[in-house]
Amino acid sequence: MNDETRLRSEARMLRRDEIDALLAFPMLARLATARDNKPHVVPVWFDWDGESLWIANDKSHRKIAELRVNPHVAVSIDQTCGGLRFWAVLMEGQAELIEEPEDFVREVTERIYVKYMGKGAMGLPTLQRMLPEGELILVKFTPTKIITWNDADTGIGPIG
Amino acid sequence: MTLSDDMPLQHGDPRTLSKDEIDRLLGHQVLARIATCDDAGEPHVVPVAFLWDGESMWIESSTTARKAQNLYKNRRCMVSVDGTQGGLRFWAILLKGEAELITAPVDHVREIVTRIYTKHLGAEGVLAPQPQAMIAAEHVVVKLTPAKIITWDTTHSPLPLFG
Repeated sequence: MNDETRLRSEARMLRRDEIDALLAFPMLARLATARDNKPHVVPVWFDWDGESLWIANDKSHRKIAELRVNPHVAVSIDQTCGGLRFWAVLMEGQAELIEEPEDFVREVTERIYVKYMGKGAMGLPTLQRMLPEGELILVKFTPTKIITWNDADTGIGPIG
Repeated sequence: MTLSDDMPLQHGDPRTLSKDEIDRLLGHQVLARIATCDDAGEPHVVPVAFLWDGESMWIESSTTARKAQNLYKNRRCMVSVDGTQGGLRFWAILLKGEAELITAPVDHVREIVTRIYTKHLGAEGVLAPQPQAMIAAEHVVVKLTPAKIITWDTTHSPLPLFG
């Protein structure tokens, strides 16, 4: 493989450090689940710790009911850079549901809210109302497969 | 973004989008994410370019792509088109239904693929050699006429985002 070929093929994948850097931005992930062969997808907030994706949820949500039956998930985190150029991190594997200890569940949930809302977020009464005691559950997703594309020809990063 | 206590109250209450807003948002150069599932019941999701004609979403694919392979066995799919403006301000259009897979007549398929690329690349951009080569390739077009559309909007103004 000559240098040019190597560079070109590398340019179409994201390096590990690029994945970590991109996933630190407050972007939406799209979480796909399935039950009875019916796919479901919704945008979600998340925290990436380098190995696992953490998603905070209310126990009553549909995706939680689905994951109790079928833990398989797929996630897309992606962004268009104009035209047909975009980058994407696609993950697949099985999710775990974590309901306790409650302090841990709340701590991770707050970490996610702070990522998206800033450090002052937890002081807001509205947010406290969104985190009802005893109703929180975490989806911990450690992907067994990660596929990346990088068609962005002008450097990558969230836009806007 | 400046946080203040009245901000989430103002922006946190979700509303639904009107048909006109849905049509206008889906007319912009945003990506959709299409979720399908295989015969083992495992979900798959991938970002795609698309065209919305007011009733159906048109997505280009190929016979070897996983979304098409899944759809050949199980036509159910769900699509998310969404955006965030930071914090609690986001909007989403979720479409659900059974997809049709269209491979013929070839001229019709190429015309649809050309329209999808023109939306995303512009009338001049689509004439460049690379998109033209892609248009000339073999395609499967996924047509989703949603049986159900769910929308959320906590921005209360998703459209100005696109100018």
